[in-house]
Amino acid sequence: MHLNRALLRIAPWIVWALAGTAASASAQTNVRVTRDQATIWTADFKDTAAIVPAGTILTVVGRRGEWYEVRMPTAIGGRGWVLKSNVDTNTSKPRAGLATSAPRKLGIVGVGQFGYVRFAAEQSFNAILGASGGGFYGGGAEVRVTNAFVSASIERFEKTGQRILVADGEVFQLGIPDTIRVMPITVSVGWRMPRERATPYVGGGVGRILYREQASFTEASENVHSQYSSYHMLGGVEFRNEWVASAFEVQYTRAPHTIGVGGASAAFQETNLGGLVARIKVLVGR
Amino acid sequence: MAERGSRRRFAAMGADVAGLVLVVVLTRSLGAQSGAQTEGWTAPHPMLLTPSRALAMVTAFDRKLTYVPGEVLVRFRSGVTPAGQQQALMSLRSRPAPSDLRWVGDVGVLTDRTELDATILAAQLRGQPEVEFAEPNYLYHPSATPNDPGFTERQWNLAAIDMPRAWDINPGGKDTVIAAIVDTGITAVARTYSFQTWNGKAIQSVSVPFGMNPDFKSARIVGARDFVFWDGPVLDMEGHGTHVASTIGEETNNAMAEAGIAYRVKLMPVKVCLGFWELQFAMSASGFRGFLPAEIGGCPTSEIADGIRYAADRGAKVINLSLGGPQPSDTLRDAIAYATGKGAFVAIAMGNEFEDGNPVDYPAAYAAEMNGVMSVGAVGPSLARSFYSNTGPHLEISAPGGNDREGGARGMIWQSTIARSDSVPTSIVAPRFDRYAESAYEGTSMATPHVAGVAALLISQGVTSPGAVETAIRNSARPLGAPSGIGVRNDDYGYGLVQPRSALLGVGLVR
Repeated sequence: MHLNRALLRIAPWIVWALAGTAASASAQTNVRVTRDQATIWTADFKDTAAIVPAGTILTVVGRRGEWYEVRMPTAIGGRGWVLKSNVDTNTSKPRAGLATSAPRKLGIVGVGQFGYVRFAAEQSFNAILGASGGGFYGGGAEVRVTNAFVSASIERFEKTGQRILVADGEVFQLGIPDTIRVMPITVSVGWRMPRERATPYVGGGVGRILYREQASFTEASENVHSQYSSYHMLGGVEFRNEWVASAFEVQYTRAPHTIGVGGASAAFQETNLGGLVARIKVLVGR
Repeated sequence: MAERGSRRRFAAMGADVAGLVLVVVLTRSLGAQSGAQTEGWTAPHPMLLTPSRALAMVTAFDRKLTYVPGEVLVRFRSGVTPAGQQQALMSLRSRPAPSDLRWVGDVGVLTDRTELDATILAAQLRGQPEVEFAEPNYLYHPSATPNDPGFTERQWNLAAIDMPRAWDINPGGKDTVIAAIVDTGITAVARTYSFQTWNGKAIQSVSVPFGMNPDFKSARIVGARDFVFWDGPVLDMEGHGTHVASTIGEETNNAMAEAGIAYRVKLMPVKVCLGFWELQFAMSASGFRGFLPAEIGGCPTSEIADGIRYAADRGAKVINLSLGGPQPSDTLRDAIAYATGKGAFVAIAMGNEFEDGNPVDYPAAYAAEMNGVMSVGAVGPSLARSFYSNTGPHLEISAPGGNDREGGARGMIWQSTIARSDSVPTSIVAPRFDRYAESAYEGTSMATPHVAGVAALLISQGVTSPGAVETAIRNSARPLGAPSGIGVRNDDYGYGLVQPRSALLGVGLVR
């Protein structure tokens, strides 16, 4: 409940940040130098700010006629002006015959994430919690090898509802607090497809769901501590800005034949502890 | 002392010839009197137990009849007009009119003392095209035997079903829930009444004090109604009804007497059963000179049905029927269906005649086919089926009912009720019903209020449908006997032993 309220409060900022990231990605277009030893001029066009090799990626921060104002590589620093004809806005496809910079071979990013999960066992969760899902948070890490990636994450969903009685499909809430905690631990592999402004990706993997359930008036032996195997597919899009990126991701998880033996899940004959997740990720690293 | 089982023995008389003589004497002594009045005595309230009714009850006992002589219950087919009803009634020798019927719901109660054999009356009416059904006004009996030999270990029954932990979840229920006890009554007043009785030599007036059970707060007694003795305050002159009510809702944690399961719910006494003292007073008031048999009494179908409907109409959400008999009754089944239709859960005793042939008892036999109605068998301290408890495919749940073959009185059910020593028919001329004591009873009558009490707790917790209450009790039962398992039933224990804590705890997502 608290997490949901927190999510609602920060959601507008998230959207703004995403939009900002995406907007800055379009306003601050990257260009690739196509002419070897291209000159970047100072603001007054009187001096050479830098000489850069072909393939150098520059960030456009302004435009004037035939010129781009660019932010120069970090090692050089500062800003300058370059002829538009000396650069290509399509940074992923180097022109034939021209030298290009190779994609980064190895990268490591740390990930923070949060989002909303809707469980496949809708009726069961709705009966206990009053909703078929809720907010969660988590984190992980991702290793990138060229365009491939391997990621691992752990997330936490926790909500308190009530113990119930189900009779002929009708649910009676008994006023006894019942807390459910679901913690998926997943490993995923996937493929990134860098584009000019964003990087879509797809992937899949397996996981382990840690399930905890306990209620008032129950004894330790009556509480539930279980683990279930799962598998999933995911897809998303990443927006990068130097060392920080944000991503929006959707994941579909299945954990078949994990529940449905007792309790509400048996009453509603729901056996899949998976569900559909929509998450926002903040990635730090390259 | 009372014998076990629902059929009372007329031990003092025995032979049919002697019985006929008794009936003749009774008839002649009563003559054509219509009011409960002897010289110098007037009933303080209009009597429902008229002299002729009292005589009929005595006759039933004497002749070991299962019905009230001369009384028949009839339901006419839908759409039959009063003229059609008259047409049907003309088939009887006495040619009664529809205005002679007393109505219990849509069932008419006809009294025809010119034909005491109610089976003949019923058969004649059943042959009429206007009649949907007709049946004798059967007599049912409370299903318990009292015994209070002294102070011994007590309430093993509540520990056996884990009540203390159930109370952690739901301490006693809510006072918005009403549990009706359709039985011999719960005394609802503190007053002394004057009655006529036989002292061995003459009919005399006796002052009979009545008092409320000090282990019931008076504010918890609601809607008390007498359907069988008089149109006045409910008086328990037998003790059975009070004992049953005590299991359901005796005050708890008050350092007094025993504990009840749903000790905060309201209790509705509905008196539908007559015992020795009601009949003795009524007969003596009519001029009968003599003692009636100690075990005389019964609960007419018409009054039981009336009481059930009354309780349902007045908002009772639990109805306890610790009574039964060998005769099926459409009237009774329809009344129970009416009650569940009004949202009431009904608990019914299975019967105590296992060693007398294990007959099918009614209305318990209807429970298995009705949602929101449960038949209850009895277990003793070892949780084995009590020796007397009826079995059968219609048994649904078991609860502690006591078994004196397991430790004597220690194995019985102890609750607070009227002190039996104050009203033993064979030794007391002027009884009193204002003193209470912890008394040991056993029977499916005692098992049934355990289930009724648990039902009251569930309803207090928000389970508002009687069918759902039954589901909760059934699915949480502890399996006993064989075959057994969650949701598996057998003829000896039904779905098993009632488990209040599990029922109240409900389920989570996976367990």
